[in-house]
Amino acid sequence: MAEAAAAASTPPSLHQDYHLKEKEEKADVGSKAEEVKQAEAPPAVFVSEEAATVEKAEETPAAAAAEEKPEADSAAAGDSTDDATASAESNEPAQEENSGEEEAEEDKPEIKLETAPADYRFPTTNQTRHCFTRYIEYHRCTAAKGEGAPECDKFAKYYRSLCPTEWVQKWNEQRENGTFPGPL
Amino acid sequence: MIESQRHSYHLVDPSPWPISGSLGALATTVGGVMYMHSFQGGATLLSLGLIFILYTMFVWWRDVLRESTLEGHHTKVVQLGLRYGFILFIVSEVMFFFAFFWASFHSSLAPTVEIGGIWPPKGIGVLDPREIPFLNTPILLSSGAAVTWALHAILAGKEKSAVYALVATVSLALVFTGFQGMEYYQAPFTISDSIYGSTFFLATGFHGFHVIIGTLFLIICGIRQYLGHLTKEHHVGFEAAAWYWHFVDVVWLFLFVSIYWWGGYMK
Repeated sequence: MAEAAAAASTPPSLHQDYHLKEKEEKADVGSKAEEVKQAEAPPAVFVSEEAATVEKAEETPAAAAAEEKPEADSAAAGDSTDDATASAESNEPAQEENSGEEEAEEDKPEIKLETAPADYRFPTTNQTRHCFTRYIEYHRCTAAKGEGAPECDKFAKYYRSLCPTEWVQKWNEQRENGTFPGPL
Repeated sequence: MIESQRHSYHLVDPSPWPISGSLGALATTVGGVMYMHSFQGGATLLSLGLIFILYTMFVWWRDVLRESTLEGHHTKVVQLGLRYGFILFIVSEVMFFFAFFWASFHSSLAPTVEIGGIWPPKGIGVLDPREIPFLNTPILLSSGAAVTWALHAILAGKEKSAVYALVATVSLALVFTGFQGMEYYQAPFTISDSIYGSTFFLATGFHGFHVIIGTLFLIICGIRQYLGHLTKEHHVGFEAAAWYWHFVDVVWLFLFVSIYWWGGYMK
């Protein structure tokens, strides 16, 4: 079932990726976080207000003042020369997206995409243990404060963001059977 | 032949034991695989191979004993070579045990999610290191002290004390093995109980196996001492047994501290 869902959602996201990549070349988005946000956003969702303004601010010098300041102080300088050629080739999609972002500004859809915050107990790329620990923390929290205690909501959010659903299902079954290996 | 020899090296006569030992090893491995996969005749081939290896060991060492004790081929330089050879063998044994400690630490320092991220895993009734393991530690260390007593008795030419010392060494070794067997028998977990059981019994089991080998080695030395084979100048076999015994002793100390004590520590 999960595979089918993944297959259904894949084509539009690839399409989206294509457009985003083009824009990245031109727009020179400095922040990695913003790139991630764009990549993760479903087709209908637009980037948040701040991201849009940052892009605009950086796009203008990239398109207009590329030749003027070849040795600009920021890292944008190197990219801006590339941007000049890139924007010359594909101006239209950039405008399309700009107009889209303006709409987003007006509507303010307030869609906030978040995952669990970085936890310094789990500095590795592999976040398996992070997911598992958050799962345990949630169940310890509800055990101490009662089912549905608001203090525990954040742990639930964290482990649901980090853990594959299959694992959560397996662990839930193990807890029911009394075979869960973790320190609850 | 010895009279005509102008050097002190031992040029060995052709012997059938290397090839017979190899064939025994081949039969053992093939038979072992067949047995473990329930092939017909697997158990027979495995037993045959093991018997072949044991027979080869017996006759080969019998020949070495004749060459050294009766024919006098083990000159100073030959003894030096034997010592080097045995030291290298012990180095390889250290590496063998290093692997099991590695497996144990790999599994216990960052326990996986599958065992709940905790060590020892939930439900493992670990053995209390302050009971039998702690008792076994001075037993094995005393055994190591007794083997040093035997060495000094041999070097001093006190043949009777050397036999007594070796009897004490072997007795302590047997007590150690007996306690280990008792602890294994009443252990609340088995080798198939999670990675804890696997690493615990792999490491302690191979140590126990080496204790048994060392005990047999010391028993042979004791018999040879009783028969007057060992002298102040010629006791390489005994020296090898003593080194081996110290090695087994040191492995036990590491096992005790890291696997029984640290690895079995529960909050």
